[in-house]
Amino acid sequence: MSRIRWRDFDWFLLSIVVVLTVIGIVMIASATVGVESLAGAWRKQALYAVLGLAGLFLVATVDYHLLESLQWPIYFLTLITLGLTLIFGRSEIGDVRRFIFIGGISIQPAFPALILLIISLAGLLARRSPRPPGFAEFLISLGMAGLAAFLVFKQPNLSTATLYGAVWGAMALASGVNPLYLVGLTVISAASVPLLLPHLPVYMQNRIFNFLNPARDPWAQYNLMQARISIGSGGMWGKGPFHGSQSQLHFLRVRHTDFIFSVICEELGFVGAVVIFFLYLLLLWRMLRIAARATDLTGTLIAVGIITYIFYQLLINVGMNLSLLPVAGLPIPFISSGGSSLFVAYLGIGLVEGIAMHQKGLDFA
Amino acid sequence: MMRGPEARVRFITFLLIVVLMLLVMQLVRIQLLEHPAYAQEARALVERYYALPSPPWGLVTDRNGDLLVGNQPVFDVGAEVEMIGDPVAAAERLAPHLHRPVGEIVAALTLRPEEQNRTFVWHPLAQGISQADAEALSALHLPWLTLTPSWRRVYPEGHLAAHLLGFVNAEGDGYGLLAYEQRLLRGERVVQMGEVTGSSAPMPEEAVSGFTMPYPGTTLRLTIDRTIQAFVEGELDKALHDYSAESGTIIVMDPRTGAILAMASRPVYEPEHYASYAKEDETSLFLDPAISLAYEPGSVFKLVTVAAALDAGVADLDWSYEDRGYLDYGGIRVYNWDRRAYGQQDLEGLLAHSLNVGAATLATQALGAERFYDYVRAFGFGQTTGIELMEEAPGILRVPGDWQWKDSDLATNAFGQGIAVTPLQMATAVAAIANDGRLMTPYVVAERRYPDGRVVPILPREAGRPISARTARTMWTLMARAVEREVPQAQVPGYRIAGKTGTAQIPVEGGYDPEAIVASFVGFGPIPDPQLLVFVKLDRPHVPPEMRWGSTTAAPVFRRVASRLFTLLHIPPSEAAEGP
Repeated sequence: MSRIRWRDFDWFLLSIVVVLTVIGIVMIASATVGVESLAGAWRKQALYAVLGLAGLFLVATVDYHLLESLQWPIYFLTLITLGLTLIFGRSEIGDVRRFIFIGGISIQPAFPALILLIISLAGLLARRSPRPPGFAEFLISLGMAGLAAFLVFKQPNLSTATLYGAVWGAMALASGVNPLYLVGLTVISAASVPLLLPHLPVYMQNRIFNFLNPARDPWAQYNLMQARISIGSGGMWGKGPFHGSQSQLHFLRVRHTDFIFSVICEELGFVGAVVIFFLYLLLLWRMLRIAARATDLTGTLIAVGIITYIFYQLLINVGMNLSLLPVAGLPIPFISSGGSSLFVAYLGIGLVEGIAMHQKGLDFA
Repeated sequence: MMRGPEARVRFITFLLIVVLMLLVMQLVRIQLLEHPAYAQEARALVERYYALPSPPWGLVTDRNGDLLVGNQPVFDVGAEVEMIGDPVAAAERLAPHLHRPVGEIVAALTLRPEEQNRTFVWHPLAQGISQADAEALSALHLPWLTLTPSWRRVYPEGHLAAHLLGFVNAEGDGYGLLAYEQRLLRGERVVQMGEVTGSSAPMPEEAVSGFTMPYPGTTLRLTIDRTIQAFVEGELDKALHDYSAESGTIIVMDPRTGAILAMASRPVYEPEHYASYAKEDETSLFLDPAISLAYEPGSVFKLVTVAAALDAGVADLDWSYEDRGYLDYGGIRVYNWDRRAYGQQDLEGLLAHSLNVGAATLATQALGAERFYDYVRAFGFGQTTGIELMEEAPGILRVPGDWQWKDSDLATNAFGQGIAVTPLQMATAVAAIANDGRLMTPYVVAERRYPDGRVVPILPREAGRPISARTARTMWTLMARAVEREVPQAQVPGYRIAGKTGTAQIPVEGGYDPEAIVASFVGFGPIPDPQLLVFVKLDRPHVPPEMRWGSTTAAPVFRRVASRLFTLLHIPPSEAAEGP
C-alpha cells in the first residue's frame, strides 16, 4: 500500500499551471475591459482558479488505485452525467443541451465526465498488466469511450466528441495494444466518413464545409478573418496588454473565450505567443515525466489521458485561431475564460500529481 | 517497432510536438512574414468615416411660443452585412419593424459581388423608424444591426400654415421657411474620418475633441400668430366654399413693420406627409401661391398708378379728366370695365368707380413710361420681396427697353393688366401706402433662439420709400372714400377702412378667359392709424356673373377677417384714435 509523499508533489508543474492561469486572467481582463456584461469575467476566473487549486490538492491526496478499483461505478457516473445533460441541459442558442445551470453557475458536464472516463478507461486497459491489453480490452474500451462520445455528440457538440475520441486513441496506443487494431480502426473510420457525413446535424456539416470553403458562412469567415488580422497586426512585440485595436475596439468577437489566443498574439506579439507555447512544452515535459515514472500502467494511462485532454484542446483552439482548423468551441486550458473548464483542468492536474505522489518506488525516507 | 508504454508515450509526444511546430510555422507566417499587410488592414478597420447622431433640429413656434414644427426621435437602421449568416431569415425577423417588403430587405442584407472580400460592409436598411420599432429591433439582439438616432419633423397643427412652414427632404431640397432657413434650423452634424470601434461608434476621445462637437439647430419664433392663422384659414375655406372658388390666398400683415401675422393659401397639403404627395405627383401643391405664383392684379394696381401720379406731382386732388369710356394708346383701345363713359372724373372717382380709362390716362398722359415704371419698381414689383421663404417668385414686369415691352403696356399696366405680381408683392406695396410711404420687407421670423442661449430679435427692415408720407396720407383719404362710396361690403363698423377691389381677368392663349376672374381686395385700417393690412384673393369663383366682382366676393371676406382681427389684436376703433 502506498503512502502520500508530499516531497514527490511536482511543485514545478503546479507553478507552470499557476503562471498560465495568471496570464489568462490578465488577458481576459484586457479582452473584456469596457464591456459591462463581462466586467466580472477576470475576477470570476481568479475565483475558480482558487477553487481549482483546492480541488487539485484534494484530488492529489486520493490514491488513484482506489479510483481504479471503482472503475465501473465511475464509468456509470460518466454515463449518468452525460445522460442527465441530454435531458436537462440548456444553452443560449437554440436546441442545444450543452450546459447545466446550478444556482446561476453554468457547467459543461462533458469535461468532468471525460476526467471520469479517463479513470475508468485506464483501469480497464491496465487490467491485464503487465501484459498489454488484448482485443477484448480494445473493443470494450472503444465501446465505453464511443458510447460516452455519442452522448456528447447528441448534445450536439462535435468538437468535444472528437476530444473523447482523441483521449481514447492516445490511451489505447499508450496501453500497448496491438497497433494493427488501431490502424484497422483508422481505415474503417476513414472509409465510413462519406457514409456518416449526410447524417450529421446541419450545423456540423456547415462548420466542416465552412472550413473547407471559408466563403460559405460570412459570420464564421468574419471571426476567422478578424482573428488573422489580430494575430498578424500584433507583429513581433505586440501592441501591449489593453492596447490591441482589434480586441479593444470589439472587431474580434468572443475574444475572451474562443479567440483569446488572438488577443494574446495581438497584444503580446509573437514573443508572447512563443512564451505561452514554451510554458505548455514545460507542462508537457513535467507531465510526461510523471507518466514515465508511474509505477504501474494505470498511472501512466491516466497521465496520458490528461495530457491528451489538455493538449488536444490547446492545439485545436490555436489551430482555429490560426485558420488551420474549423471553428470549434474548445477552450485553451488554463487561459480561456470559463470557470468550470478551468476547475476541471485543475482537477486533471490534481490526478497527475496524485500519480506522482502514489508511486510504489523505493522510499528512502 | 514500438515496444512498451514508454516508447508509445514518446510517439504521442512526438505527434503533439509536430502539430505544435506546424502551428508555430503558421504563426510565423501570419505574425511575422505577413505582418505589414495585416497591420495595415487593422489600421484601415479603425479609421473610417463615421457620423455622430444628429443633434436635434431647431423648433419653429408662433409669436406666442406655441409649437408649429417640432422633432420626434426616430432611428436610421443599417446592417453590417458581412456578419449576417442567413439574409432571408434575418429579413423575416426585421420586416415587421422596418415596414418594408421582405424581398427588399433580403437584397439590402446580401453582400454584393464586389463586397465579397471586405471585412466591413455596411448597408442602410431604413430611415425614420419609430422609437417603438427601434426598441423592438434592439430587443432582437442582432450584433450586426446598427440603430442611429435621428429626428423626424412633426407638425402638431397639421396643415396649419403649411405653405409658409414647408419642409425639407432628405436631399436638402424643400419649400417654405424650413427650406429657406434649413442651415440655421438643422445645426451642425458631425461626419468625418476618424477612429471608430467595431460597432461603428467613434472613439470616445474623437467624439469629445473640439473639432467634432455637433450643435443643435436654432429655434425660430415667428411673427405668425397661431390663433389668427387658424381663424384666417377657416375664413378662407368658408369663402372658397361660399363662392365655389378653386383656390385663394389671404395675407395678414402689420403694415408698420412688414411682419406677417397670417398667410394662408388653398389648396393645401400636410407637410408632415410630403413624401406621399411626391409619390402621387402632386408636388405642385408644395408651391406657396402667396409668394410663388404670380397673377394679373387688375384694378388693385390702380393704387400704384394713382400714388405715383400724386407723388410725382403730376396730379392732385383737383386733377380731373374727361372719361369717354375708352382711350386709344399704343395701337390699342382701352375700355372701362362696363364700357361706360363716366364724364368728368377726379382721382376719387377714378378709384371709387375703378376706371381703367382714368388709370391709363394718368400713366400715359400725366406720368409717362419712365416715371411710371420707376414707381412700379420702387414699390417692389418685378423683384422678390426678400421674405425668408423658399421659391419666392419676382413676378413678371416688362419695362421700356425689354424686347417684349410695347407702348400699349403702359396703358394696360396702369390698371393691372399685362403685369404679373405675387399676392405678397401686392400686399407689401399697399402696406407701404399704409405705412406713410415706407416700404417694409415682409418677414416671418421674429426671433432666433440659438442653442447657446442667445436670443436675437429680428428687427423690421425698410426696403425703400416709394412715396412721401404726404402722398400716402392723401391715398388713405382717397381709398377710404372709395370704400365708403362703392364697397360697403368691406366696411367694418367703427373702423375707417382704406381699400381697393380688384377684378382681374385671367390671361389665356390669345387673350383673356371670358368667364373666369380673380377677385381680390386689399385694405388696411383703421384710418388714421393703420395697424392691420389684409389681402384677400379668390381664384375663379363660380358665382352668377353679376356677383363676379372683387367687391361682392373678396370684400366681404376682408370685412369678416378685419373686424375679428381688430378685436383680437386690441386695435381701437377710428373714433378712439381720433380722440373726442
